[in-house]
Amino acid sequence: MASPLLFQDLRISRMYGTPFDLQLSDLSAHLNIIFGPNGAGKTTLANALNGLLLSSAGRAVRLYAEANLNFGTQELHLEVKGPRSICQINGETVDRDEQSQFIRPKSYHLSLQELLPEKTGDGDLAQEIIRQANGGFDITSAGKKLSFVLQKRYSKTNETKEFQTASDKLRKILQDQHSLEERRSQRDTLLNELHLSRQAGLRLSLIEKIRKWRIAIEKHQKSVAVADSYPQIIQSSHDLSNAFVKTKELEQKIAQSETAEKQHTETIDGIETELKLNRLAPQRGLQKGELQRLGSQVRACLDKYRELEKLKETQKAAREQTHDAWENLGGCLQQGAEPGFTQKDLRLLQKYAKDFGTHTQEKQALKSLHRLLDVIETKDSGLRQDDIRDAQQILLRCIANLEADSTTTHRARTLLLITLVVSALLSIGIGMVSLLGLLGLLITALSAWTYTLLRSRERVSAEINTLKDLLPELPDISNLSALKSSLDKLIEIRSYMQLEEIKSQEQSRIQRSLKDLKEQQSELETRKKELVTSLHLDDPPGDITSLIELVDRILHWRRLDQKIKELDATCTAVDTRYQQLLHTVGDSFAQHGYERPSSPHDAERLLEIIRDDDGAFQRAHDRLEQEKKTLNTTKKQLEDQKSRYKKVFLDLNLNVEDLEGLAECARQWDKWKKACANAEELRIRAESLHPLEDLQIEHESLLEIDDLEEEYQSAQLQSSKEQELQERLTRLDADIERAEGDNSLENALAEKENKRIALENVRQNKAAKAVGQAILESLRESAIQNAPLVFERARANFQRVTDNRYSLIIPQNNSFRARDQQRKRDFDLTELSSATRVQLLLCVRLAFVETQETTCRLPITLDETLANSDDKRAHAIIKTISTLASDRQIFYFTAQQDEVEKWGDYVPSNLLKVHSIGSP
Amino acid sequence: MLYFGPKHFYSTLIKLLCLGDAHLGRYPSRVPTDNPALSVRSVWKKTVTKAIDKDVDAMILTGDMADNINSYFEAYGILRKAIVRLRNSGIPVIAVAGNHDYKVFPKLVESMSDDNFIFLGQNGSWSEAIIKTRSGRSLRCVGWSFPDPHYKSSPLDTFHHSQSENFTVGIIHGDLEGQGKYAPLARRDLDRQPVDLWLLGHVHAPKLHEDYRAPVLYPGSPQPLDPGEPGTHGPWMITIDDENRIQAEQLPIATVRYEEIPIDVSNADEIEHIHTAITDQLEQRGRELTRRNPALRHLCCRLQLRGQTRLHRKLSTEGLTNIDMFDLEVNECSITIDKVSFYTTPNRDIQEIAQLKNDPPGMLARWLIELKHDHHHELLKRAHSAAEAVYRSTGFHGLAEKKPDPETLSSLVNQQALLLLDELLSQKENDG
Repeated sequence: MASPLLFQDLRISRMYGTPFDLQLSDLSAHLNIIFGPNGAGKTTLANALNGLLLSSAGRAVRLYAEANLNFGTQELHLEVKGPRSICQINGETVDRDEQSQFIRPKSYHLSLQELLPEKTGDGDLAQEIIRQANGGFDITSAGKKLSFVLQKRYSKTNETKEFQTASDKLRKILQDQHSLEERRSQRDTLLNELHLSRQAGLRLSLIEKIRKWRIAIEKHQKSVAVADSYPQIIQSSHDLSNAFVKTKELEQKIAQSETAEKQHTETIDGIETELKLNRLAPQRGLQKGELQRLGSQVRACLDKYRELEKLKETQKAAREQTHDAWENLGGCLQQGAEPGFTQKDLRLLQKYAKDFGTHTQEKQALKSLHRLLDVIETKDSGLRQDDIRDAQQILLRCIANLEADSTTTHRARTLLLITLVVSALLSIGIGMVSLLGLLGLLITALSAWTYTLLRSRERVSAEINTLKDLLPELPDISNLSALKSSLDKLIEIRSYMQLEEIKSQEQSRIQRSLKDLKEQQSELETRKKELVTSLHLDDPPGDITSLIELVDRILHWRRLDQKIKELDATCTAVDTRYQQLLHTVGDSFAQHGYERPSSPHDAERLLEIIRDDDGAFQRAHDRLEQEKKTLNTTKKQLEDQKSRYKKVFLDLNLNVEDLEGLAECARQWDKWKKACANAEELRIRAESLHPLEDLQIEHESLLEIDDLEEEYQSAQLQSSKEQELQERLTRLDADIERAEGDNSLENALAEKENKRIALENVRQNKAAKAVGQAILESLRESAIQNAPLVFERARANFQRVTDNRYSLIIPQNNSFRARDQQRKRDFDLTELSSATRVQLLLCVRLAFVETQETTCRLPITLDETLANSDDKRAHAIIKTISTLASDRQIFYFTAQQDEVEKWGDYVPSNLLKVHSIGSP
Repeated sequence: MLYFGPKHFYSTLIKLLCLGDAHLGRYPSRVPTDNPALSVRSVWKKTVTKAIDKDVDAMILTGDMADNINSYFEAYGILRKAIVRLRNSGIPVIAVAGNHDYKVFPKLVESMSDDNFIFLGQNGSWSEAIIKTRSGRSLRCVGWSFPDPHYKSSPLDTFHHSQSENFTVGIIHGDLEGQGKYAPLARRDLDRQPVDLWLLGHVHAPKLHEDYRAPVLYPGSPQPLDPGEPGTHGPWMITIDDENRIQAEQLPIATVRYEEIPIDVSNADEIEHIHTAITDQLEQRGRELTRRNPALRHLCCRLQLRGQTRLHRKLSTEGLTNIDMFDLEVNECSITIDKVSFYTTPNRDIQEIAQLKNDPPGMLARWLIELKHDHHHELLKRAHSAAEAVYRSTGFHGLAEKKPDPETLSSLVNQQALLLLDELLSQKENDG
């Protein structure tokens, strides 16, 4: 038999994250009543016991506890520190496997609720027995709570219907597309049929065209026969439509031509008479270009004559100007004398006059400046520049010192005042008035002030003495305002000195300039003399301006005189040339039989006459030639007309001038011509209707068929389908186009997929519940396999705790019954008293616990299982538990004093130990 | 950005924009369906615009551009218009077909008759194309396309192209190191071929294998399609310099992002604390992601609550109230919670409880420990039957699976057993 595991003592230091100091010691090996009011820590102790023997339970309550236990001869020490647990056997730490023998399941803990179910029915009690046989675990209830279920059939859910709808929709679209695909596969056939239909239409059209063409050919052939029926001479004739009229007109033309011939002959005679009177006739008019040459000669002669006349007028004017210029000289130059100077000499004279004027202006300006400087007033102080500068600096220092002295005085006064205030405050602050101390401070301050003033005065006096040495004439400068006015005076004196220096420098410069101008004037005078001498004038004017004017006039007269001479020479040359040209013109006129001209104007007149003569000759000559040609043409026309007239009659085998016969022929020709035109028109029409251009090879055979009616009917029937076929094809293409641009199938697929997943999720959920149920069934079956053993033990336990009065009958279907051994009868469990029922349940639980134990008997914990029990039931429970406690440690937790007393009443004291915890 | 070799920029760079597995015609699941900006087609249009803006030499499509279920018209129309737009900008499109769009590309080729659109590997036969890049260099592209929805052997068995002086890009839609029916590709076979860069399709998660002889890039889907595709998505810009050094950079232009966000609730004492922790963590995550990816407009989160907590049972049975209504907006990006998974555990010592002999909690604890190793546990069989009964029931006929997969079942059993254990133990706590 397994040994019991017995707690010796127990200590809890921390649980649920809260510090505790709860301990139990001197524990009984049998029954331990843990008594304490609510909140004293009973549940904590129960959980600690669980946690020490089941690590996961310890971790769940964050337990920190330790306990010493006995197991047979072994001493155990268990320690749980939160997630960590240690087990020592005889002082040595053991591993998890070895520790596992002491693991205590939760089935070792019983509560009042477990033993006193509210349900009283037999079935419920049986369930409770089974539950206790499973260690207190209710497998069925767990399955219900988790909604485990395995249905016989799973009917359609909303998801199933939605999936079905989506599938149907998809199937419909797919069918449509399959159908469209089939139609597309037939598209080629449709196209072929359409092609054939169009071919038939084309054939039909061709047959109609052939028919029309054949009718046109027939008409043409008939018209040709009509035209061919006219006489051959008519058919071979040219246009005879107006032959009679034209022949009459020809007769009139012949008469007109004969009259014209006569008139032309008379005109030619008249022109020839006219030509004989023209002076140029013998030489047949002027040669080509001759008239132009004569014109040029006359114009050249006239130009030269005009040039000569112009020169003579210029010459006359020049002579008058020269005479005026000579008169203007006033006889200063002798007749025939030639001046020896030139234009260059005149320019030199002009330059001299200009230079002299400039020289005189400069000289006057310098003299004016000199006079102005003399007018400026200056004063001589008799002082040196350096002394003045030094005195100025000293004065500036003095002024600065005196101003500083004023500041120092102000500071000294301030210092004195502060000294007084400080002295007074010090005196008051120390609680007594010391006049001596105050006086001492005043004297010290005044001394300092006086010393500062004296130092300042001394510095100023020394400076003033130095200034007196430099400038003894300066007034008294003992105070600041006097010093400042002295400084102003010094600045004035210094300004005067600087002005005097500038004036002196400027006067020196003017003196030097006047000296230079004087030298230049001398040079100018020399140059003037040289120039006047070079003019070789007997009595030159002394005034330079008059001299320049005289020279200018002489030079002007000389230029005019020179020009007269040049004009004389030119006139002579031009006159000579003019005479030559006039002679040449005369020769030319004489050559053509005209008189010589006396002047250029006469030559112009003669030129006009010769031009008129030449024009008249040319016109008459041209007219004569034209008339001769016209006469010849008229003669030829006349011959031609007569010949044609005769031919008209001869061609028609008529006598000449048989106009009646000619008229008849013309009428016949008109009729034949119309017949021919009609035939031609019909030929063209027939040709235009020829279907050759439209005819394809496959239809050429149509031309060979005489009767096309049958063909026509057949083609008509076939071509009537074209429109329908075309519509079908258009619809098909539109459907394909629409389907290619659509996404309804894509959407349907997506929808179906989403519905499928939703349905799968439902299935998965149901499968999970079904699988859960299968697991639950397996577990229940496994538990039931243990049941017989548990029930056997339970029966023994039940007999033991009821002193063999009752035993448990266990049928196959778990419909438990009890047997009263004394009365020897069976009865339903519902007939048992509540106390006996509790005993029975306790026995079943204990039986389960015992079947689990192979190596050791673990402690059992009971939580107020006596509560609300009457004496009879309490006694039964106590008796049962105390029976169990004979070989197992039991912990009973209660807050009821009367329960403790009941335990004391029924349980021997050697088996019982009461532990009070918390406040009494 | 991933890079091989020293970084240089030359005028002779070849620029390629690569993407695949767009599954045009599908819309990302678990996001609002009324926002066109979240559609795959909007990201595809942005990709095309990017190609034009970046003046790339070619756009390379690695298959599954169109989703098979919607490949007739909607995806086809979008693809065709984009190819026309790229053609107008002088950008050729080089494509191979995947197991989804094996019918689409041949039809496109037939309808477009355009030299600008190059479809490689038609009918499951390798073919090649040489394009002249803007820099004047030639680029050889070799490719293979799915002839049927399934292809069980390796397409590389029929690879016959010889070495070329031009840089060669291999394009194929297949399952790298896979064994299934989607063109399995073995690494050794890829390494053997005279190809300088492999661009693959089929796997939606972007991945660059740098340790192969020639780099292998799965560009991944440009827009993620369901919560199983978390992380950054977008097309890849690939530049090749004149020394054939390759630089690959993902352009994060996807507007949707799925995230699985673990949240430790060990320290939470109240459910409210968990709500606060979720809001804080999602806002912080939203800010991080939108800063890195300004194009992001919707963040769909799956929360995984983890940690040992006494709130486990409450969370597992009651869940988090109003979590479906959660809607947060950060930098123009809305954040929603698609699902909350409770991977919390009760505050119990399972090992200790397992030592409690035939105590029901002890039995449960022992089973939980046994289930970790024993995949044929009696409990699993029983749970499987129960779950299968649900799976096969009328209400769920529409769903494809008729029984839970082992992983799901194991997870369910573990969760429910823990829940029951906690509930049983709590009975004693209430009593005591």
